[in-house]
Amino acid sequence: MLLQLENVSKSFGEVRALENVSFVLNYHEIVGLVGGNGAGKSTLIKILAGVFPPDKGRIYLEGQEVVFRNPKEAHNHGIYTVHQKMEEILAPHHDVTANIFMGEEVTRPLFRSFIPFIKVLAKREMEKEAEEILSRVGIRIDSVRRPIVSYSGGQRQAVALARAIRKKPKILLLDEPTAALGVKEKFQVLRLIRRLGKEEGISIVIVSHNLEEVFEVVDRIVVLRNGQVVGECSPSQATKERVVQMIVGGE
Amino acid sequence: MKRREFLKTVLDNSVWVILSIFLIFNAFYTPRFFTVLNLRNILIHSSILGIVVIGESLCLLSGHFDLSVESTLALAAVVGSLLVKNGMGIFTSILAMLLSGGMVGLVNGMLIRKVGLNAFVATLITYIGVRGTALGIVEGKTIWNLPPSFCFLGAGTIWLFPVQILLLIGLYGVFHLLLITTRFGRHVYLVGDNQLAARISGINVDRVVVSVFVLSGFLSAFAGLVMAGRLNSASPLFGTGMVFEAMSAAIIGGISLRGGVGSLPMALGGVLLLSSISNVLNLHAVSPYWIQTIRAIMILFAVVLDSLKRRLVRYEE
Repeated sequence: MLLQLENVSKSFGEVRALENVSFVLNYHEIVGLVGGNGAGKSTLIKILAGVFPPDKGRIYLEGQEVVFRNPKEAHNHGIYTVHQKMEEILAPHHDVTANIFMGEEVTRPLFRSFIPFIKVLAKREMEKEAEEILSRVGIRIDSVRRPIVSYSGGQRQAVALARAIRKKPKILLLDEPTAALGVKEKFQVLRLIRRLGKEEGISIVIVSHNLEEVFEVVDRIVVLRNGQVVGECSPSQATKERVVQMIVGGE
Repeated sequence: MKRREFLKTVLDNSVWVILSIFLIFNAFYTPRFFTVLNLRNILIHSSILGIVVIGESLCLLSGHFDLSVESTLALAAVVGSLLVKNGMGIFTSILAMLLSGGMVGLVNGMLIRKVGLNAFVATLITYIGVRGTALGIVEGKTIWNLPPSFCFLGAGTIWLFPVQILLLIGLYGVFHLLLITTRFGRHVYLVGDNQLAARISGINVDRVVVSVFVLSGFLSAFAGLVMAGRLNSASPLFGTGMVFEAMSAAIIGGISLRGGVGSLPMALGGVLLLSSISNVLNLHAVSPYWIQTIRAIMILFAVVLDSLKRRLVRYEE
């Protein structure tokens, strides 16, 4: 088990967003979190990402109990989130490389032998690494030197994913990753997500409204309703009708 | 596709293309334009504005306005001259001047990042306040007759070259390299392009913005030193209205007011174009009142070109 939540509860004032939720994420597993509006999907993902702490309950990462007080601490444990609108975390007029390395630019000393403290950006190295990452995960892009504005929505999402991959995450949290995309791009991104899970060995949690796409990529579906886990199934064994029934409740 | 790439290259360097056409045209049609003396004149005329434009461009690239540049210039000129007139050493006076500029920049940065004011409002406050302080210190009077060594940067020559021109070239070189080769420079661009994204990726936005304003303050103060040297005097009314010229030059050079787009050499092109235009109008003895109108047309033209360029690069379905 890579990640385990034990009896986690979270309230916002009167509203009980999560009630005694236990949740497990295994190594190399893609899990889909589904549920209606207000079921607690986003709250659960935000707790994992360190946006806010749970009121009650424990989180174990690789058997060790962890507490995330802020997103940075979650990052330090290898947990990264990619949001619904991935574009919002990209700099539109900068090239792909600059975006993949944003905030973590690689530098080299200008004159190696003397005055080593003057450092300049190692543009070549960054470009090479960016190309490597993109080709490794099968993202096709004409040039890492072109600005984000010149690429389509799906390609932009792919760049945002590539940026998360560069940080070698253990767990990737995807919040409605395809909500803003067209049909064709949606499938490109889904294929990319599947590939990240299987070939890169990253465990992924996807939050989604869209059952079609959940059935397409995940290994296991966890259904939330009114802040509680009401069911679990694997997409190969359950039908969509069964899952919908669990989401809305009743028999 | 090839044609599109070519068009993009032309538009990317539009200032230089327009400037070349303008120079070649006037070399034939304006008497006494294409002489060493006159070209040197244009460069000298560009130097003070050019130095201010570096600071302004840094702020614009990070997505902020700096209206206070011209007031900072006047304050620094007055402070330095007053100190040097009262028997303070040249270096101490110059240091004090630069520090006064840096202080104004620090106040701007703090008002924006720590108090949370909009950059326009914050620098409007210092724009008015600093000009007032400069006027107050000398009670509106001009200081005359500065020591020659103090005037060296503004009026001296090294061999055949006026120091102002060398400073202009040197400063543009240094700051351009700072912007495109260092992490700090990259962060300035990124903060201007998408501040939220920069913050999420762990860039210290406060530090970047405050540094940019402090640098802008230093550069404006330095321009004040050059101006005092050139005119051998310091007036609290130095640089009145210069902030609009500085912004015009930056915009004509293709620096986006939304931040993150543009480069310093292009802004320098904007400065040179503006100076050349006023120079030509002077040579033709056109009334100086019309210069503003022509400048407005230039800005309109630059903005239209810019939107054309954006349309070329943007992804199309």
